Amino acid sequence: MSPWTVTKYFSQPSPEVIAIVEGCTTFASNRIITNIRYLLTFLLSSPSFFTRFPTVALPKRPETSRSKTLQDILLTSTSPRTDAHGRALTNRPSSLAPLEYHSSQWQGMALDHLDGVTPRAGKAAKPANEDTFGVMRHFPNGKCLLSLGILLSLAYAFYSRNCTKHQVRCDYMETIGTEGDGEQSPEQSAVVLTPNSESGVDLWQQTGCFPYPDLHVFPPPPIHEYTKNELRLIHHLSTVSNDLLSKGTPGLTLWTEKIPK
Amino acid sequence: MSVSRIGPVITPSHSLTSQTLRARFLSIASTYPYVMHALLAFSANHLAWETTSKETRNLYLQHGSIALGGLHEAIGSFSRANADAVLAASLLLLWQTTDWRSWSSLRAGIQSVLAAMQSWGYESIFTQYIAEDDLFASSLRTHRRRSSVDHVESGAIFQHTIYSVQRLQMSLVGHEFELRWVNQLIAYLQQLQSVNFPQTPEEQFNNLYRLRKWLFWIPVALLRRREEQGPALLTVAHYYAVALAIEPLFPDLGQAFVSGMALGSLETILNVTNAMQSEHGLNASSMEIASLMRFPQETAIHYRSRATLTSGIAFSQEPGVFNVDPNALTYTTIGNQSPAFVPSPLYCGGSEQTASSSTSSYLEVPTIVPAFTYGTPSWGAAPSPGVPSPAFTAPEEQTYRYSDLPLDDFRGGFVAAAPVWT
Repeated sequence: MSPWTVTKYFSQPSPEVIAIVEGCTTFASNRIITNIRYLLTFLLSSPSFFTRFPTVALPKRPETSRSKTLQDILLTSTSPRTDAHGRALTNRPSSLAPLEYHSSQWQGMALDHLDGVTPRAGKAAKPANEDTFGVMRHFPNGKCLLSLGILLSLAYAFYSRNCTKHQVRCDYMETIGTEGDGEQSPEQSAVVLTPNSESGVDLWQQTGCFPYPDLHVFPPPPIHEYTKNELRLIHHLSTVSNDLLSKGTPGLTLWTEKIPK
Repeated sequence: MSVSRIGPVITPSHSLTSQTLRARFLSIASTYPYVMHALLAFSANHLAWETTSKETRNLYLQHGSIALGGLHEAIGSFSRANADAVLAASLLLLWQTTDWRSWSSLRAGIQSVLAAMQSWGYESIFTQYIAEDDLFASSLRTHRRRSSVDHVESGAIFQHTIYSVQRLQMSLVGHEFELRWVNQLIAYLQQLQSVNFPQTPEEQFNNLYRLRKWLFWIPVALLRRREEQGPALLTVAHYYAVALAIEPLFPDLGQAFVSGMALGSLETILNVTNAMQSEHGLNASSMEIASLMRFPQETAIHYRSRATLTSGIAFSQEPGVFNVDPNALTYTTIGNQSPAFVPSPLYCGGSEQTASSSTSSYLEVPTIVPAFTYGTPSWGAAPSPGVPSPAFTAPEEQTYRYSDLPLDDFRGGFVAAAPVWT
């Protein structure tokens, strides 16, 4: 099993966990923007997220540490010795503490942090700045954003398969998939929709409401069982069929009356 | 130009009950992952055609491979419980097949499932789809029937078809989007006309595959636009009519290949244009539209009457019930670089590609249109909206290998797919 499919194997987690796992798959596919936004959306909608949400399930870890409290993660992340890879914390400012950063500082600090901890993650995160800060404008104090950075880097670290590059032992290399590196998952391939459709997919994912009620899709697809790309593809077909339905022309093509439904 | 004056198009809306009854693919897909993968492959296939994205195409191949593997497994444990899902996945994959063997294999599989369901007295929404697409489910029963059309007659059919589409072409001045597709259709017909008539079923499939692909995607592209619907509707009607007119010249394929599906859609368009005509009376505009629609109308009438006749003959020759046997439906041609593997198989060869070239034997079309391009490195999209028009792009079997993916075995049929990334 590929680690990138891990979202499917959570049994009805709370949305926050999905968000984190989405973050992981984000790094796998280098498509971070929408997932960062997704993660931020949860943070924004739950100001008390860090205290309210008790655990983060980490799949495929040794049984003894299969889950950690979020507080553990935050504390661990500030300790130079307890980073999952042990390598990156040397690059971090000694004054780093999860709740001490203001949003205006986050961009540089967090990305430095990501660059140090997880080069691939940092690289992937950089193009997301504009999008990320579009969301940050609505964030009241920005204090959680650093924590987000930590979560992202941790999430990446837990899934990293790149440890040999840094000559650092990764405990998780033994438990995370043994597939060849050349293998691709569908998630790694891009499905580029129009911005409107992309927003529609985001909204669908957040609300669970199928975006086109006129198509009478019943029962609606269980969104938690599908990856973002899969939802995008379902959304694409639905958009096409709905467009023709709204023009009164679904029966004028070979398939738009039958698919997706 | 008066063709603009058709529309807005409002077809009789389906009742809620009908819509709900039809709501099956996605609901079955929620329970059977291989149906979902077939549906996702269909979506990625369409999106890849629209965007010419290599990544999206890979996604289509990946989902297709997984769906195929799942379907094959499901056939091994075929039962009343999974019959609907097997039919749904088979249909979705059938619509996406790119080569003759996959197509005929899936067709045979569908017929077997239908026969089994018939013996149980079990009807499903998918049996209705199949009945609609394949008027009287006759194509398999009349498999390998020979065409009663001789070369002279087939030449006349091509000539009349091309003439009719050229008339449409003249009426579409100023409607560049529609003109692009009409020009493409004429060029395709002229190429078909100029090649030796295909003898084997595989050659016939390869010759007509491109038209089939167009019929799936182009009407959607035309009818989704916000612009006036009239020119789009006329263009779509002609695409369908062309399929109805020339598919009978490829007797090994049968109605299920595409014309059976096209007939229903064309008749819906005819209802719209006829209703419009009776509403607006005999003014110059509606007269011209009626004149342009004569070819689609006559073709549809002729096709339906002939299909009825054929089905009567075929029905009397029905060979009996098929057994659902996964082994009978399996073949392995893993890694076969079928010319039809690429999305735009109609080959418009350049000077460096001769008709006898082993890698370009597909639809041996001589170079007849100097403006065609060859060797466009981008994914030949048949051409899709993402490809500059009006140049054709060459199929990519010469340049595009899927060596980076373990997916060469997915060509849309009953191939036991190797694990992809699990």
